[in-house]
Amino acid sequence: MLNDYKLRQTIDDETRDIRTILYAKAFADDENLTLE
Amino acid sequence: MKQRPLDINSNDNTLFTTEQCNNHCIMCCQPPRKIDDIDYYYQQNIKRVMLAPKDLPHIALTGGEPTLMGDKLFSLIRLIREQLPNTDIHILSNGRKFADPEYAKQLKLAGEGKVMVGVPLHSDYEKDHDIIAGSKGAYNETILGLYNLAIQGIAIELRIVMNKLNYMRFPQMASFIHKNLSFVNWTAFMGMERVGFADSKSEHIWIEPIEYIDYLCKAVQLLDDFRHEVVIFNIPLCLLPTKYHAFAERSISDWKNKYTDCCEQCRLKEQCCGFFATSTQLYTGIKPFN
Amino acid sequence: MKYYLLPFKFTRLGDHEILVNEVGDLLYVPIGTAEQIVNRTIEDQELYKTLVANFFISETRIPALLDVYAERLAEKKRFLDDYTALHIFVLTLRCNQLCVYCQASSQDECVSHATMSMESMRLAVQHMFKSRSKYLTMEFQGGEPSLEPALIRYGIELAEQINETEKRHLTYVLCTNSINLTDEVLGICTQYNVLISTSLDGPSFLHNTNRGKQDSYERVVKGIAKAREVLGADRVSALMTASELSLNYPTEIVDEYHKLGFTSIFLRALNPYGKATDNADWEAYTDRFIEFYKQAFEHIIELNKQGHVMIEEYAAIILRKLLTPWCTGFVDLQSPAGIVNSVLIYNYDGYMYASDESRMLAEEHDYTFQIGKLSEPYENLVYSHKVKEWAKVWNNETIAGCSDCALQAYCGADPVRNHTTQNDLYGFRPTSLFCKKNKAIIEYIISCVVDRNEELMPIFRNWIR
Repeated sequence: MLNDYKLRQTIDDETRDIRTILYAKAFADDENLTLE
Repeated sequence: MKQRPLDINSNDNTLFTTEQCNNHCIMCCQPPRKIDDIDYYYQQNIKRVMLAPKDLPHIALTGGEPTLMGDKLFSLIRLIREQLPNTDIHILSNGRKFADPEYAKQLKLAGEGKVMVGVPLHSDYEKDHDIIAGSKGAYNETILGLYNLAIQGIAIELRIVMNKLNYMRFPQMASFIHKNLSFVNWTAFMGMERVGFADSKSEHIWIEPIEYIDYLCKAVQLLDDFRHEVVIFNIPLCLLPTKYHAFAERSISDWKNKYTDCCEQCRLKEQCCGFFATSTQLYTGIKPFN
Repeated sequence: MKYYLLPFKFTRLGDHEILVNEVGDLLYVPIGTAEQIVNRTIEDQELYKTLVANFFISETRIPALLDVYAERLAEKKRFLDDYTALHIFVLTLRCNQLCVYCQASSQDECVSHATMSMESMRLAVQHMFKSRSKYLTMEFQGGEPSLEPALIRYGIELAEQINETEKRHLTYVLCTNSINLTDEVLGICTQYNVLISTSLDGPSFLHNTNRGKQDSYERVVKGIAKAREVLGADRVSALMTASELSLNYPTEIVDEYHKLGFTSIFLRALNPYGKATDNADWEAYTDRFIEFYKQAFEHIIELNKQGHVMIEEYAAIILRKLLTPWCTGFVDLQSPAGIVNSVLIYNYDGYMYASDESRMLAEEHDYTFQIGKLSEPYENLVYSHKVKEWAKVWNNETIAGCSDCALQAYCGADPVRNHTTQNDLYGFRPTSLFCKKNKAIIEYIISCVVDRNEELMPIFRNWIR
């Protein structure tokens, strides 16, 4: 159980930024979202 | 290269556009050459289109890579639309240039709904596709190109040339197509012609159909389960389980199509695609249906 | 090996692990795979390629095909673009049955004050057209709505009139017990192509016991036959609800539907509202329902293997979410929740409610999900402070217990249910029976797909439309 919790925590930490970008690209009104 | 005359009775009418290509597919049966031939073929093709029979059902643009023509591709297509208004246009392309959305848009405008683009996909995994395509960056551009074509509503044929480097992932590719490329009009699994690199580098590339038939059938089943159009090209019926005969097409261009001696006794000869006359060897395992 | 993680969830299922990415693509892998992925110790090369190709991991910090993945995510939530498509008009509390589990707390046939006024209907239809959805479904419920043909006709004709300029795609549904399908009612159905959705709990002894009247089954069957004759069999569908008694008869219920020529069945559990809350232990009911579902499902599979068409509708929805890239519109199981986003209720009492269950709570004097008076402007209702508060908790992506659940993509959020059963809009997943039931059934269906693929895909492929 602890291992699963740690795994999920790691996935969450490592993917927080890309997840934000993904959702912004999928749902933002502005069609021209580019990444710098 | 000398182009064959356009013939209303042929199932294979093509306009050869260039020997250049920005991919270097390992099994290419028309290996590319670095030669500035676009204008040469462009002028030749204009004449061919002007003289073509008006009721030609299809015409294919091949090469090399036709999109290397740049905007001349659209001029040629507009000419075809004008001279041969009832003819369907099939462009064989690696799709990479369509990663530029504007280029895809221009194709949509020029084609007026009569264009289909046939695009090869070698793998669902980027690096495998790039290795087979002989070019880094090919996969990403091809996928983005497919999306831009779809956004423009242009008909797409996905072509999977079955070879030693990709056969083990046919089911995964089918799943990938279903999930990410479900907009394609159909997927064609194509048996290799044993010619060019497929023959001279055969130990790296060549694989007998009997070795991959199970993978192929799994992939076809998956696509069919979800009602995607799927066809099998260039595989004779004796090498396919009966259940999958319905997916096989008489796909080989008439001018390079042949049957062998044992085909004479086969009751399915008329429905079967037979073999490539240009292949250096026949597939193993062929036998007639009695 | 160097790669970057993309968001994914995992859980154990039997003696395998399942991995699910952000758009609900599922991979069935050996136990320990999630750990290998995180630790960068993947040994199976083909699995590695599959993980990259399907957006579980990326070889570059920003995936080159991120736009493709984003488009896939947008497609899964496409139902949001159209906003509210299902509009339920609760015409009256009058009814001619006494169903044991009735959520509507139906009153007698002759009571008149519990019926929608023409003015409320007029306001409601106008609200309906405020939704920008191209497809609008106008669904009549009750009590028993067929007791109010004049109101039905008025509502439909008003909608048709407004639609001459609006040009939406309108669908009408009449949810009826089929007992009172008079020529007048059927005439309206014929004229305006109204679909009939009726209730059929199972064989006669079961149906009659549930309905509280001894001739109910006979009259329903007659009503169905009449409706089929007048409107066509494809315009008549049936729904069952599993009462406590029903749970003992999974195969009999399925057989009854088959016998009466239905080609689909929706195995629905009771909702814990209305008269149903008088029932005994909900925990026990939930456990028994899960068993009931599996038994009924296996029997449905048997029927399919014998060549008969019988689709289980709940499974069909889960299969569609699981196996296809397409968006699925099912208001009871979606995130953001179906309330307001996909369904609105116009109640006989002149008020707008968030969902069917919401107006039933009002019958118990719980007005938590009453949005406001129909006479108020649409914007004041739908963008009210109340609705905005619900919006904070109606995504399963962002609430505890759901945010890291491997089944999130296939499940949904239901603040109304949370409030009713746990007295808390946010809900507490560890004791949520909504969670327990959905999890059990979704996992069961996933097992069917992964463990019995060759056996069941030939059947399932016809269920996914």
